[in-house]
Amino acid sequence: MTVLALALLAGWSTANPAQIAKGKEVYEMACVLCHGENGAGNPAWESEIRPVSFEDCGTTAEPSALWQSVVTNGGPKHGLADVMPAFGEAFPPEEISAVVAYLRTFCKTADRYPPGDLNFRRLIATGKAFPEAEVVLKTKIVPDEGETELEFVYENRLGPRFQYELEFPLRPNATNEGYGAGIGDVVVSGKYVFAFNPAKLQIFSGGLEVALPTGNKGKGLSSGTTVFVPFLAFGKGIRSSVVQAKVAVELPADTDRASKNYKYAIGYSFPPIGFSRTGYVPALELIGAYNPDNQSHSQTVVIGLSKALNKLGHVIASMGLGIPLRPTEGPKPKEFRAYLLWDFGDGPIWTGW
Amino acid sequence: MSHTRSDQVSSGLPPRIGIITPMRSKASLIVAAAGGLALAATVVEVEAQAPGKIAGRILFKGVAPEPLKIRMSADPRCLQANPGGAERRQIEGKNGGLANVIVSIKTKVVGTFPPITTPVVLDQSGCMYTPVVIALQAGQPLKLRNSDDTLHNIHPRPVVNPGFNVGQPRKGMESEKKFDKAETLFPVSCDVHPWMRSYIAVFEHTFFTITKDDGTFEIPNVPPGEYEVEAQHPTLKLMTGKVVVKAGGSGTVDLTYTLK
Repeated sequence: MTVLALALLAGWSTANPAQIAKGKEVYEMACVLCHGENGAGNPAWESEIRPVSFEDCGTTAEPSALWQSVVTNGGPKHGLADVMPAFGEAFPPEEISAVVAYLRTFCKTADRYPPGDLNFRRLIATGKAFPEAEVVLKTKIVPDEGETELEFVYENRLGPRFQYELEFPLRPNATNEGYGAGIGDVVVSGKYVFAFNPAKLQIFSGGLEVALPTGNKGKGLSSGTTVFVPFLAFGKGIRSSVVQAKVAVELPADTDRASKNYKYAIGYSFPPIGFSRTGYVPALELIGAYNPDNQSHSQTVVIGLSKALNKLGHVIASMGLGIPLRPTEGPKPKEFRAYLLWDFGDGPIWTGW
Repeated sequence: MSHTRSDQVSSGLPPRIGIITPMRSKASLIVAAAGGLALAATVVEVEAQAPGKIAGRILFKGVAPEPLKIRMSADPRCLQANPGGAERRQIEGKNGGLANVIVSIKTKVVGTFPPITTPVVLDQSGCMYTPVVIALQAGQPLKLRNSDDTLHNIHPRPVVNPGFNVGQPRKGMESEKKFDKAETLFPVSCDVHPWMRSYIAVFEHTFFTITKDDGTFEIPNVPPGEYEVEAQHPTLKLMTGKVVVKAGGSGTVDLTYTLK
């Protein structure tokens, strides 16, 4: 029922006709000479720089706050073209919000796309519900065990709501326990946005990960069997903070080689320090796994901090400290976790600095 | 000829000839010759001496390039404002005189100068900038005005000062900006209408002016002394000349550009 209700409430790009009408007025006064009648650029405008096409529905992934800031402060504020002027002296914030609302209507199927306002900052351990076009380099270092894990993740979108993903895990050196170096089990996955509600700032997705036994089991790099991992992911903005959560079940094809696990992660992102798109975001996460066969339960809390590295905010770094809570007995090695991501959907990596 | 910054910085200027320091109580001048091998300081007592002025004329020889025809088809309102078409002259003047040249004292003048608080207006009218060149004292207000019923943006590209790019979509809109550091001519353009171009120079002192249509100029209230005078034109190289200003008198400097 909740999913159905969320779906019915979608329609974000056309939700406020009065605002859009006002935005059209502003657009025709201040934007049309460069951006054109259809939002794809005025071909008669004499400039070597061509504006982004608002007809491209890929732009729905960019948050309105960023667009409002570009209109208010000009392109250079976010590392974009310096020919984009600042209109903060010309229009009050509500008119700038209106023109951004109007810009969203150039993508005729925008309502089918989850808006970028739901593209919450990635947490270190908890997965995202928003479909991404990103490259992510992750690492987890457990000094007490001499273990370093690297993971290269490629995510891309297909259509309004689908995302596919490839994960390549790598252990660059042998661990203290004698596990070898090499490539681990490659993961192929798909994710679909079941529902989203821009007004309530929430998004709900689900999908399936398939971990293929590409790694060397003898080196401790593989489970030795294909593991299917259906999952659900959820994100919700609460004013300026965000809650994200993910639950998954690991279902090995061969239960003699690997065991079933229930996994969960929930994270809270504190309000950004600075501009939402580029500022510092402290976060707290709880991740856990439960094995119903032996009833073992592991749990780790992760304290993290992320920051966009450039003005556009599409290159982001995050670092965090993982502190094990469970099992309550035995060693509790601390983990250092980090990621570096490039949201290539927002532009080449060299733009926006 | 196109204007570039490299034109300005590689103009083969002679070395600076002196530093003039108006003293507070005695109005003394210190002239330090630093023009080459010798370094010598001279104190010129000019107690109670009346200021003079620098006057002259900037001329040009040769044939001025043909005006550039402007295509305004991208904006119907600009076409409407210029029904007979529009053009931009790189060289303007009459009777051999060169207009739109900023003439200033190049010699470093150390001291406190009364700030000019009167704004200079850069108007956007008929899809053209008026005036073509602007001279400002550092910190002097620059008022940006849109007199057109179309979108303009004002986008100066300074090197020393921070730049800005202000959109003015409404007729009658005004903004006020300042440049806090001295800087030689830099362009100001409208990215919407790329033919619109003006130039701004910023000075620490107040000893600057812009030539009239016949190339004449006058810089009043100049303390007596020996000066190097500099001429800046948007499309021509920097040119300098020397002049001596006596108390209550007028020093004259004429400079001539040769157009290729």
